[in-house]
Amino acid sequence: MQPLLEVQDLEVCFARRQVLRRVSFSIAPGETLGIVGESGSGKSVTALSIMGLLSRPGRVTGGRVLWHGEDLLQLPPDSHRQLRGKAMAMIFQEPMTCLNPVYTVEKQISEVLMLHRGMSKKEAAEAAADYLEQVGIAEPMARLRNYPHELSGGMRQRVMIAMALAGEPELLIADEPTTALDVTVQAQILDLLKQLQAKTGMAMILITHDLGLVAENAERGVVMYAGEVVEEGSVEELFTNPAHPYTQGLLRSLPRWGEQQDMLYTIPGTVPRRLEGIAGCAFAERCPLAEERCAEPQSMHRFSATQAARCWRTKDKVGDAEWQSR
Amino acid sequence: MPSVLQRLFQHKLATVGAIVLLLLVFAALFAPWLAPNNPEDVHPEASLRGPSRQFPLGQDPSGRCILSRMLYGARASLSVGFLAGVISLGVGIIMGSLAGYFGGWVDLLIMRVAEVFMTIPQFLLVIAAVAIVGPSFTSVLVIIGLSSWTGYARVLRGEILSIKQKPFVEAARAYGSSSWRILLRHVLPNCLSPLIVMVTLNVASVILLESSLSFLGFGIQEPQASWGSILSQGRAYFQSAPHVATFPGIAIMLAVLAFNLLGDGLRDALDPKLVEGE
Repeated sequence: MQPLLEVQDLEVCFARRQVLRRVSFSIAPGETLGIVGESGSGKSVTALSIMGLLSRPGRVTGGRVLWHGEDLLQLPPDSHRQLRGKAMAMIFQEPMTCLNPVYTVEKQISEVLMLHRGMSKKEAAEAAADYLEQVGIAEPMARLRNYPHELSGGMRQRVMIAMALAGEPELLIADEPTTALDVTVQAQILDLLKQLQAKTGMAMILITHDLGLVAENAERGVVMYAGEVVEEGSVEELFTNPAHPYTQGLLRSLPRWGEQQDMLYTIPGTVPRRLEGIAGCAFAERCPLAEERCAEPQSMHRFSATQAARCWRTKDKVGDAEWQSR
Repeated sequence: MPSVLQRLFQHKLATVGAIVLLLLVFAALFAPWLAPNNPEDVHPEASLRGPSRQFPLGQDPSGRCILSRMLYGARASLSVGFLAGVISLGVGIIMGSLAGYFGGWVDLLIMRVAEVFMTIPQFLLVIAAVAIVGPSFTSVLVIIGLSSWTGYARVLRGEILSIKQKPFVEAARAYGSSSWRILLRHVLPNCLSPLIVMVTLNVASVILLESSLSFLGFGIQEPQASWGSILSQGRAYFQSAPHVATFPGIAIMLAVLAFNLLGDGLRDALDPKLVEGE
């Protein structure tokens, strides 16, 4: 089956500094893909590049982003814009400030409906209540007349989700959708997203630094480090049998339920400030298993049918199998 | 949450300003009915006569009724004030939006032009332009309007630069709004409150400017009345007939003061920190 979205060797620079390199992954219709990585690993830049929202000085310098087989990066900006909100929608980290303070909830949802579904003002106003109900907001008619500052953070994120749904997208990119919310609200929002996904059949890219969220919500995961994909696999594989030392380190750093630990494990060192001059593995300088050959560039090595890692040790274990993302 | 108007009227001085303005506008609108005499009727025998029953504020050097001339003069002063205010606001919004939103060389060009405008004292610029085009009601208001857009453009550009970085603008881009739509629907409406305050203050300064022009004879021409020209006629007789210069002077002062009080009140009422309550 043709993937819904396929990212191939994406490279992004901010001014002269490279922030993404060799980023490849794909997502099938209806699937949930988790992208994990720490701050600055390039998760959000990847999402913005897919959406065509990268703004100066950011610039895609290489690679392809195939949407149903068509390269989005070659589209004229206006055609790409028309896909946004309709084919692919995005929700952001800051629900407090993502809604326009001068319009009511109704106006904001209606705008998407009028823009992408060709509804009249009146039809849109009626449909808006429907969407609020779908995202689990009580008394939708009353909430429609509210301004954003009258709503709580969780409610605002629900409104954002309603606006994303209103375009009936095939892909929803959720960039840290729950980071700014309370833990209880977090769970509700993710439940809601899953439930809506089941109903509409849209695919979702869940971007987060929280491994737990990926484990609970995604089918496959992509682990990013310093602008590179270091490992990709199904969630079971990533969590039970991680191949890349970075993924292994991340999992060791998690506190475990019921286990007495005096100190949590931490990965020594820090993320490299710049990628220039690092031809090989960006993680090598922090890696307990680093060897000399880690300074040489390498591609993803296939570990199983669905799992691959950018590490020589994987290649040693399984040999030189050709890896094709999905 | 109290609305902007409610908060405006909690401000006592702003309320006073608004009432004075309403009275002035009323006087200007209904001048033909309120005026006790024809403002252009000359009574040479009664030159410079003080207030009397028939001429409540006295008569000017040609014996015309000062009250009637002031009522008609209010029309000139206020309409120049409002219309020139609207022109400069319009030009300022267009220039400021283009500069702030699109940036790059457009921004560079517009802001350099604005700076050139700002280096020339506005009063001199207006006098020079009026001298070239010829003084009349229309030329005065267009020239004043076109020479005072720079303040709006600068403030709006700054506002836009900060608003366009807000997450809701990125969210609007993410659901596919075009850049014009984002500018008109998402960015501009969030930049308006400082402009509203500026308009009220700007109208006050335009009224002052028009009065000064008319005082110097570059503004509205005789026999049409203007506060500035009445004041100018009274200047020569200030010791013998002080009423001629005093009453139009009070009118100018009241109008400017009222606009400033209203502007101050609006500034407080529209303060986003008070509005959002967060």
